[in-house]
Amino acid sequence: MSGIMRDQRPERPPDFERNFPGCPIEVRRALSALRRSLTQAAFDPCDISNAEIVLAEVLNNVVEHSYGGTSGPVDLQVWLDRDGARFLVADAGTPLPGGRPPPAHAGVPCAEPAALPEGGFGWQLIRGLAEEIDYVSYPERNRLRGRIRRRHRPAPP
Amino acid sequence: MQITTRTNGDTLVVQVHESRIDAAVAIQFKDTMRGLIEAAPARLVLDLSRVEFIDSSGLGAIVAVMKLLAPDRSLELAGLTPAVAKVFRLTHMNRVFTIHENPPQARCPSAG
Repeated sequence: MSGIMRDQRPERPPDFERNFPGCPIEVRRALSALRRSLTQAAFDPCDISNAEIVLAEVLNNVVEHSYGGTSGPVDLQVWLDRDGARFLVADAGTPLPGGRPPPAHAGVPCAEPAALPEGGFGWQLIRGLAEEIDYVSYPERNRLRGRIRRRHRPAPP
Repeated sequence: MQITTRTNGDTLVVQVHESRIDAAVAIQFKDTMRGLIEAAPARLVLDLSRVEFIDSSGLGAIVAVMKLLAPDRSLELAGLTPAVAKVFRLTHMNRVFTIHENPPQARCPSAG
């Protein structure tokens, strides 16, 4: 267990946990392992891709912005239940600007190619697919929590 | 980054043979495409039927390629798998790109 995750543990141990150095290949590995876990937990392919998209963006943000070129530890924890997946991502890098996630920006991008953004899609995807986003920055530790609701729930036992 | 091309009339069809266009390969994808499009015709169709996952970095790279081609040449997309289509929809990029269900078929030699 890495040191940046110790406080504020939720009530039960996570169903999925990975601690890894923040770099794109390690993010890929973690997502691949998560996909296997969700498949084993009988999540629908659509719900699995929602979780993968959200966590890809959250983890990419940590790698690209929080650590910005340097590497550092990333902790990913996921709890699964009938309603979906709760996640917690912690890092020890630079906090989000302003100490909070960027505000949601609505609207359709301009169709003029030169004016199209090449970035900023990450938070759009996180907000589109996750809820209960909660970000806290402590000294030397940032953590983002959220929830991905299951669209295709299994039949009751 | 495995990419193949074929010419179909005045269209260059570019097929990506990778299951993911993500942060780990986005720069490589953009560089490979930049090399390909130098001599490209007016219309490029990017066949994404083998791509199962794309993240915002991959999406940004595709937008960047479109911008490299504009204003004289166009980039269209084809064969989006469900997770890829979802990323385009959620970012409204499905309204920016022309998206075909299937890539253009190779022309059969005419019989007779």
